[in-house]
Amino acid sequence: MTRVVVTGMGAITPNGRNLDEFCQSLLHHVSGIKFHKHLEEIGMRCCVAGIPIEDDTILKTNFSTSDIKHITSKNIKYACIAATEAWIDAGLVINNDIEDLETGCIIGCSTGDIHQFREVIQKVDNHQIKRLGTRFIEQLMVSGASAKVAGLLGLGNRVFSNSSACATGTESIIMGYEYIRSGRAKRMLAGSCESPDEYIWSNFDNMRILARGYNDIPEKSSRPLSASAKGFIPGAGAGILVLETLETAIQRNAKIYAEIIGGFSNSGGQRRGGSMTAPNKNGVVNCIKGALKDAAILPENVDLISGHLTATMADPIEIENWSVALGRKQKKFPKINTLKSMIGHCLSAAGSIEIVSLILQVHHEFIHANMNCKDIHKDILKNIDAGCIPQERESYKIRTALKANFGFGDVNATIAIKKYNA
Amino acid sequence: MKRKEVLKTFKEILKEHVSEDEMQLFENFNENLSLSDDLAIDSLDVINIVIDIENEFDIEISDEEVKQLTDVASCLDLIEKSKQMLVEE
Repeated sequence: MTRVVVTGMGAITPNGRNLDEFCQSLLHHVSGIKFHKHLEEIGMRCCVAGIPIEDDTILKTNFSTSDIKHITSKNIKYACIAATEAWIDAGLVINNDIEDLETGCIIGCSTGDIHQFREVIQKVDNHQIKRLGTRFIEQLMVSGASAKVAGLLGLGNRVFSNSSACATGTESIIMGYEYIRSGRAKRMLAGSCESPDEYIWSNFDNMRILARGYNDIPEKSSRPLSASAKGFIPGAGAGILVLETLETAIQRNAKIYAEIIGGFSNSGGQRRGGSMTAPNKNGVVNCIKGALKDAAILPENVDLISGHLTATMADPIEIENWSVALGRKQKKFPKINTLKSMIGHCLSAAGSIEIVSLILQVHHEFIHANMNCKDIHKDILKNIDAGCIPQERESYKIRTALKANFGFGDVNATIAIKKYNA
Repeated sequence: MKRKEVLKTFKEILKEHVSEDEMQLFENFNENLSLSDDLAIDSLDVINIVIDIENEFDIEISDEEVKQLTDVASCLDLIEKSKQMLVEE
């Protein structure tokens, strides 16, 4: 079977303008969550969020101003920054003359940038259609990010987009992996992006699933696994991987970060306790088991889990689902951590950013700490030992890791990643 | 309206639609500059420029006429022709 490896990565996250800065933040547990005045001004109760510091130098360095002048949607800009970084990190060259028939991309997002929608709606409602200009469609379409990235890098294989709420990022990388494994492309850029968007976040705020009471201590606000967790913290950004066949990676002597060995996505069908907003436990367990089977690995071989773990009341249930799926409890449970304690929940970008972080941990042989959970929720400790939840950074040679995300609509995605062995 | 005046107004419109990389061309601006090859203006930019021309010169440009806009000279010719037609009407 075709083996698929990761040869390049790019990221723009609440705690990193690029891959190097993100890696340093992971190593030193730098929080990217800050108080944002504009969230307070519009009346949100949760006024802290993980909003990336935008640095588009990489775009200005590699492309003409006419290539990038019309990128006004934040999610598209983030995707372009991360994709270009991943491309260069993989040692690939940007060919401005012909398209690369062997390479495609899949970049997902939950929605287009609603600030752009707002401009269109205001102009149309004010009967100012002539002032719309001609550039909104490319900024509004869900495929806007994959389309722009494909144009910048000249990708000539399949270029498409996915959207599965908070499972989007992990699903996009699974889909990219599956497409290469099917033999239809040698290389795929895969990942996802999310705009910082108060028009979306205010709805979560009203659903009472964003954390309240931490506006004065932003870095303490995202508390997955904790008894004092009060909800998730919204975030934004993008993570993009260059996936390619092991054969082409070896041929061009590329650096190999890790190997993708399997993945699975499914739905709980909104049955047996599942709903639009809550997962069917059986669906989650089946998803994890499906990834193990696809990767042909045994549960006891899993060293690390990168959880979905958003800091809502669903965290103890997620831990129970992992325990049931792996058949491992208490001290036999693998290590588990969650990046969301540092950057919040980047929604459709969460999976891809968290996979970048997981691969950095596999590559550099460490496990980052879980922040803000000294007071582990008692229901979590019914299933796993506290030692499985690192409170400090640990040096660790991770051989095999699992990453899962679960999204509204009762959709699930789990991916299996392995340290590369020739 | 003299061509010199049309050119001056047109240049101001154009500046709003070209990228920084192409701004240097304004130092040696001439009517032979190609919209696509020299000024990196694509078909969607052209529509935006047409909208600005229509508003600025108070003229209407048809879809057929838009297709003929390939360089600076063709834009100036069209503006002059349209203004002249208005005078004759």
